[in-house]
Amino acid sequence: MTTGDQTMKILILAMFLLQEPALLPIQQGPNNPPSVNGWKKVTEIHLELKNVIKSGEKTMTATSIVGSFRVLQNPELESEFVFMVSKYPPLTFVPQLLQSAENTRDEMVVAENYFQKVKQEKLKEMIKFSDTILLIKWRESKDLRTGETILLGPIENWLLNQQGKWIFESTNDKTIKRELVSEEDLLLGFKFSLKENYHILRLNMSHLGGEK
Amino acid sequence: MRHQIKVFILIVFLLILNGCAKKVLMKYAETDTIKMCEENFYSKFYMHFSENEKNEFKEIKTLGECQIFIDTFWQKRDTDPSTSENEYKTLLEKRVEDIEKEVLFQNMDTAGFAFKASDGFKGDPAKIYMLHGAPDFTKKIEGHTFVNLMVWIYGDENGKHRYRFLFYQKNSIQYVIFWPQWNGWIAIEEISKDFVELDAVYEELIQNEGEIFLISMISFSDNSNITPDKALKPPKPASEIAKELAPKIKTETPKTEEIVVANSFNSTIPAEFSYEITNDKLILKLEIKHEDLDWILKNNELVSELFIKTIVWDKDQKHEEEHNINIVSTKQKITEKNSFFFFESKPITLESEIVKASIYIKNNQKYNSWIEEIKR
Repeated sequence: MTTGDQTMKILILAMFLLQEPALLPIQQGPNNPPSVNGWKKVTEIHLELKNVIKSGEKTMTATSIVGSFRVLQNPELESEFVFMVSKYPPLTFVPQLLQSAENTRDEMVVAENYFQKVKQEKLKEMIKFSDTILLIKWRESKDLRTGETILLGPIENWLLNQQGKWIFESTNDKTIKRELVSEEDLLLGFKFSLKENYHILRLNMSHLGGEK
Repeated sequence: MRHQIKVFILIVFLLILNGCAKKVLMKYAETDTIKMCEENFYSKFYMHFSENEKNEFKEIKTLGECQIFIDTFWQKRDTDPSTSENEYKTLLEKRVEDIEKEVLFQNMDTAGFAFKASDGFKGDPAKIYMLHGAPDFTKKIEGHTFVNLMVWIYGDENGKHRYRFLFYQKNSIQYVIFWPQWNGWIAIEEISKDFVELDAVYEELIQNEGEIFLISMISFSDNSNITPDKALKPPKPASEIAKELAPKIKTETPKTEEIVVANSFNSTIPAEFSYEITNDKLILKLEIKHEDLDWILKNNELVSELFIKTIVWDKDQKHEEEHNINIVSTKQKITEKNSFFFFESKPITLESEIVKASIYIKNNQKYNSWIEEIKR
């Protein structure tokens, strides 16, 4: 299996862990999540939202980033992973309204290249102000018979609730629920829930400007 | 006679031009600086200089100043700042190399054409080549009734002609640009040899599949907004294009330097949300510990600037409230565990059994949000 396949499998597993509501809570455990300092980054994806907004007669698509998720691997126990969600102050990128349609594709590419650099710099700046709000820890192994990757032991879930307290649940199955949050026609953010506790990562509506 | 006068004027004009060309642009520079900057750099890339850059360039005195100018010149034009290579510099240097190596000389469609014979880098073909690179389509035609012609076509993303550059051979030596005329017959007259019927020129062009030359004589581009003037303007440096086209970035600006007391989070304000329904009236409530806010010093007082937005959707109605609240406190109070800020929304008379409420609070760059379904 290539590294890419492995990453994809871990990602799919991580997303799978997030999709369904809790089934079997097993025990209450230590409330604070473990330190994952020094863990190897397997992947990192920014939590992005796209909204079509109107300005006068023109419409444009604004992209907002409200956080990121990372999959990390324990360097001392390679079968152990965490899925970590970070929340940072939201960033919204609103495209410029072009004065004319004379811009060539080359100019658009140039603008995109510069934008990507600025975006990365801005993200780095915002990540300094990030809080971890969710951590899911699990171990996996290979099924010797089928060769499939399987979960080994319980899944440990930590969620920072809105009162700033860590909630812990250890389960045998997927527990954390992720939902897209919208208000009227706008995609607002993501809601991560652990039973009745939740935390919302959202954009600042005033950043979108224009009319809805 | 008319022809002789024309030739005389042309010779005088060329002599003047020649004199101008040799004039040194860098008025205050030493000889070695002029050699490095003007002869090796400006003379090749001048078509990409903006007016400001030209003025700046004229003032350069030393080699050091020149090197800084050149570095900045390229840096501003780098099309992808995230790579170590300056792609635009590589591209233009390749164009210089093409001109010096006379790439069009052995090209089937432009066989025998040499930049050098057309005044090298000062000539019209090199100017166009330096601006737009290798053409997508080229054709050269030698006529009995008209002077030699050459056309360079640059296409756009839709397969249309963005630019049609027509050159004619002047005095049987150098190719110079021919600017389209609104009247086709006037255009034909311009390129015809002396004592030739214009119909004959037209016929010869048609018989030799020279329609593209006829089109280029009267029209410069398939896009009516594109004029020759625009096509000869120095392209905007990439950094300027990026400024014009890049999306606006909207974000929170953390007041890190102003904050005297901060909560223990970086992007979160811990808070307790609750609600109360009495006699069909809904009140949204928030409870925030003083220690969970960020505080700045304003007129010797500790102030926390809190923004609260609440929305309640009830049937077709939307009840929206926004508050910018300045909470004033003391350092001692902030550190006390039981020191709170309380907020209550205006009472909303409910119509439905179930309403949706959204609460958003922001303090400095930190925020918190609730979305709740409230049952009566």
